[in-house]
Amino acid sequence: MGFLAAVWENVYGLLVDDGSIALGTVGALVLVGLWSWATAAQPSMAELGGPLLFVLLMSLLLANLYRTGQAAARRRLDG
Amino acid sequence: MSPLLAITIAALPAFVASVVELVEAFTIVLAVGTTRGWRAPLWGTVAAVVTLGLIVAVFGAPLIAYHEQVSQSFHLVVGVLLLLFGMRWLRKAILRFAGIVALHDEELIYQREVAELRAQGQRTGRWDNIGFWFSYKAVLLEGLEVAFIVVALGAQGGAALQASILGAVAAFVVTMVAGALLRRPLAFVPENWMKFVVGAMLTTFGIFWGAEGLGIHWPLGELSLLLLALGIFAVSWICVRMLTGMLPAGAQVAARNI
Repeated sequence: MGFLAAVWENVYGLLVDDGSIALGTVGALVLVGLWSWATAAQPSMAELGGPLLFVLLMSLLLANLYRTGQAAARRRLDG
Repeated sequence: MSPLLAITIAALPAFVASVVELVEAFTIVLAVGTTRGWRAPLWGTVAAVVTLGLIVAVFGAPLIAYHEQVSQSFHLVVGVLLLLFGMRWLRKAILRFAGIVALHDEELIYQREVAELRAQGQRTGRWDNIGFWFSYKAVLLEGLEVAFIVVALGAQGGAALQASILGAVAAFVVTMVAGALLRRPLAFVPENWMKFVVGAMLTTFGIFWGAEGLGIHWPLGELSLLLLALGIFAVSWICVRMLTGMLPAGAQVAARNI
């Protein structure tokens, strides 16, 4: 059982390290999926879906790292 | 898919990612071998490699067989998986560059594993169960990431799967030969740089294929991959600068632990 638990932890850990990044990534894909559906009749707008996904994911990474950096700075100051 | 493209998008990232993971597995097998003898850990390694081969075959074969029928769904699924995996590696590498998370230290891990193995006591019979399972678990668990990357990068079709398998096998050969020659942990391998590059590449492919899976057309085609990669490198650089500036002076992680 211990070995199977380690395998599961490893497989889960492959994809999810920080829950908010994983949820945010899926959320960004859902948003871009909605964009693609809503702009299906306007190809020039629909083509912006790819760049939009890039901007959403990079904003997510930046925001997540900013929060992590703030927490780390607080810990170092307290410690 | 042209051979050059297959090498760029499948073999290269599979090779670099596999080296990172195999270096970690090698450290543990080396600790077992030098502490308890080589026979059982070598068999443990062989058994784990066979298990990983089966995993790639089971999940990789349908990718080739049904690739054409469900191409768009595959793009989406592979895009999501690559994004989750790539963003995770990218985030961790950035945190390590900024000094918030300590760098991976193979020498320290080796010493810790040796101490743990010595605490298990001497082997009692001709066959060393502890040595076998220690190596099997280490190679299998680290190798799962390799198998995942090989299957995900190979999901673009037969040529890509062959290229990613070739990349992983080349990494296995290079790591084992280097390890056998040096007989010490491969601590000189720039793991964080490699992890960063692979994280950026997987995120690039994840964005590209994820969007394609949602039915979005990239106006510049495969040239968009290059622009995405440049954008990701630029944002990563900004993130490292931002994090370095946020920490109090002298507060970067000094201890090289895990």
